[in-house]
Amino acid sequence: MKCNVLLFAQLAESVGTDRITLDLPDGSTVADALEHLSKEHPPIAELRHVLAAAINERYCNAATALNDGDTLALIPPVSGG
Amino acid sequence: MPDPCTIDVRILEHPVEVVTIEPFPPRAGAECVFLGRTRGDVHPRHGTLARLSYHAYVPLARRTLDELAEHAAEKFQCQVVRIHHAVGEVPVGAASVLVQVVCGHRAKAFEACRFLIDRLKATAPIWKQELWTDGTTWSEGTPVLPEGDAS
Repeated sequence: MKCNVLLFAQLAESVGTDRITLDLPDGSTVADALEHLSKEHPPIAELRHVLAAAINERYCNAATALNDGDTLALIPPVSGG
Repeated sequence: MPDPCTIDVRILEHPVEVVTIEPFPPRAGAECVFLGRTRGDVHPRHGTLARLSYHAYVPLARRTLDELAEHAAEKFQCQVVRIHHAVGEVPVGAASVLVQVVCGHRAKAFEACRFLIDRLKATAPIWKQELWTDGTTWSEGTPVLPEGDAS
């Protein structure tokens, strides 16, 4: 299945893009996606322990399952206000 | 029966300002306003701060702020909850965020205002980039852990 991954702020800047298309086995979770992305992109591996995730514009956790066509947003530490 | 609450959440592409509440709810006696402004600063290597640039994942930021406003309205019996946040550039002295609440009495209004700005800063997917006279940096930020660590 294919998922669209969105990156933001310092994470996007470090990786060099704000979106990645990810091909994963059916039944993969957010944790699986992060594992895969961490191997391909060292900045994601470096920030992984402080990243939150959202699927289709809703916060989720590492165990949440992904479906074909989902948009997975990786949220680095936030600094609004 | 609780008084109804008016909720106004916006992500704006310019600095924010206080909005006069008219008509003011007749059964409310307290209005609390918080404005977060760009603070002047000097970086040891990059010089003077010129302005901040705010970036957001707008759909999720909207949803997060909507949910926070609804939660606060119920928790603190607010009659107005307004949250405005800027994206884009905010010069030194200008305001990036407005939290404005109206309640029956001051204690709840202060509590609601504090709750909203603290939760916004911890959960809204918004990022602050510091634009100095000689370079840019990203604010360190706070990890969002609403439902457990994504790693």
